[in-house]
Amino acid sequence: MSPQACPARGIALNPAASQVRIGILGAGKIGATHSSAYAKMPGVKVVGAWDADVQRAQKLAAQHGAQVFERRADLLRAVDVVDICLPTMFHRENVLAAAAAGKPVICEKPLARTVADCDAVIAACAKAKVPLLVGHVVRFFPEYSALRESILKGDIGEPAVVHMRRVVCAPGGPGAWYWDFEKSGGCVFDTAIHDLDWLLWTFGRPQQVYGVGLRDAAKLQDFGLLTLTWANGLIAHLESSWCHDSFSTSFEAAGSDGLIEFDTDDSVPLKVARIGGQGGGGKVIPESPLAKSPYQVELEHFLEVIGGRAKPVVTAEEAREAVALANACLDAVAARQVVVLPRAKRVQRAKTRKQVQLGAEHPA
Amino acid sequence: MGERFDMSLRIAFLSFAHMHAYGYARHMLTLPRGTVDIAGVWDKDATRGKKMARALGTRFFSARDKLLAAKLHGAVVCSENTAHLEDARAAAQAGVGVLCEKPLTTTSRDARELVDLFARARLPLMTAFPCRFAGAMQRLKEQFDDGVIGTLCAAYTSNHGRQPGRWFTDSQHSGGGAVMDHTVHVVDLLRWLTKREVARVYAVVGYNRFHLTRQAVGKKRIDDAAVLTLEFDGGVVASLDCSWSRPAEYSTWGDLKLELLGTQGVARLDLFRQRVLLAARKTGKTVERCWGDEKDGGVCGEFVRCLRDGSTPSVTGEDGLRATEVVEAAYRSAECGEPVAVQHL
Repeated sequence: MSPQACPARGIALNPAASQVRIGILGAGKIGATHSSAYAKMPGVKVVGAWDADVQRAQKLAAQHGAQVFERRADLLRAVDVVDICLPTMFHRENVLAAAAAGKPVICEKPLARTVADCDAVIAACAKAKVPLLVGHVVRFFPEYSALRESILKGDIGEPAVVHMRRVVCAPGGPGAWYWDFEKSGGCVFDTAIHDLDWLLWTFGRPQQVYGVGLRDAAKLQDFGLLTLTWANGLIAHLESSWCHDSFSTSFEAAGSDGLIEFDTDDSVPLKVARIGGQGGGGKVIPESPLAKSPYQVELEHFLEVIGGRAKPVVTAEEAREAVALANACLDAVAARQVVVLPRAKRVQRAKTRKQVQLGAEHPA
Repeated sequence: MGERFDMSLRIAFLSFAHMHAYGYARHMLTLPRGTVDIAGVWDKDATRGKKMARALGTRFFSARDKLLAAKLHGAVVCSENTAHLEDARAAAQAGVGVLCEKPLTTTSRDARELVDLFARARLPLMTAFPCRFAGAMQRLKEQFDDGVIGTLCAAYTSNHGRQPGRWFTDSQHSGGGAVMDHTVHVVDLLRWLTKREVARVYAVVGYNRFHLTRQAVGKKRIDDAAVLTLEFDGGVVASLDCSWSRPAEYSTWGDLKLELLGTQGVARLDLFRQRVLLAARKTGKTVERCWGDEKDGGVCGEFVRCLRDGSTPSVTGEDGLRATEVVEAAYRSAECGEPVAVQHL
């Protein structure tokens, strides 16, 4: 990344200080993950945290030497960049508040629950002339960008059948917002959106989607199987689950001239086991370490974009597109019918091509 | 005829068009002496038939009906898919029980005819679904029946393969490509586990998508890429990738994988995972070789048992019929682009 700022195009970040001051809205899991990533970035500091659950905000603030703000408005005044790590249903309101305060916004994916809300936040940020960057972090996972580059380079010929699997444990317990499907959209909306975004990024908009799913909030069960098809005959199939025992993702792309595959379960370079004594029973801690976590790569990139030194690898419009596609998938599952998507404009393709090179510059 | 010879079952092989016939024949020969006598081989391809007859130490018959009249107890039908009907029908008419390679037939109407024919003749008709007999699958079934993962909710499965070549890419003989070839195993396993029928199918199907197919079929076309979504009576949902998507350069021929999501847990089966990795200068390739139990042994053992005691095979002609119904529905769905109801005959 270029160390030289480009103030003509970028936003002047706290010119008086040498630090970019980050305000975290939402001190849950993703708020903590982002804060830890910021902590590793020179010249960046989490200075403020806000959460409806003050104790949670206090814990995060204490960890990073930040201040807890009781009022969001006070936090917005005290920071250079707002990072929204709140549940999806609060994204709209908080992006609008940040934009109104004239602060650049980083927002966790999904951008919003509905396309209408996406439009509202995109328009507000455009009007306020603040960048809006959405945390589609899978684009910054080296295995996923390697897969994409390999496919776009033609390593497997014409892609024919692509599988993307993303299974996780039940997020939160009974009563957690995740299990209010109206709010979260369930695993197909909240979790598969990573893979849907990757598919859009790599192949553009599909022609149609179909899916089946099971959901029972009382039993903490949510599961979906989605099938997407493109005009050129490409088939993508996704498994999405919130009812597995552990986190796991995999993908496979089979093309006319080759095949490429990946599975987190097969990609564990380090396993450290504590000996449990006679008969075993120790604990194995598997790790797949990277010099920089994909979250850090993502957030560094976002700050470069905010500073006017880079073009976004993921735009707010693309995040909106992922929301639209995830909603189409939910519609297909609910209707038990194929949902045909409106044809995308040609512009998207050219954009995607350009971003390949951008993506390639990213440190693995 | 000596006592021991009277005791042994006389089994004929009708065609070696499907390579699984070699496996079945080998297993018949490994059974204890006096269990099975391979009474003869008939094959439309006389060269292949004669070669196999020699290898198995038996006679080649140039007329199928002559062989069927040779005091047989059973016949193994491994002809091309579209010839199963005629060969199995001839066996039934000759009073001979049949083990038929999958798919039982290429249409459900043909399958229904065979099922009824064998039922009327009180003869065993067994569909060769060897995966049921694999050790890991048997263990999965045991644990599933014991309720280890609770009630089945969903399944994510695959039966990938390398395009098998020869008549498999000629729908006149095969009845279809990857969907015809690789749908039935997983459908049978899921039916076996759930004891339910597939009610609704959505299929997206691609033709000539892979190099090996393009090379094989030229200007003709055959389906080689497909993802099926299955909905069972009672609500279980499942998906299956049955594509011939493995390139020649891949380390193995394909796979059969089930991920079963139950109310109490998740089971993952990778049926061909018992394997060694071999890198050899001789072939210039790195390949995986399976060392797990041969599944064909279970199929042969079951067929022989049924011929001997007259009992109904654990895998019946009706199982073959139900699987073929799903294949038919998949092709119909691919054609109309919508999910379709499975028509049960």
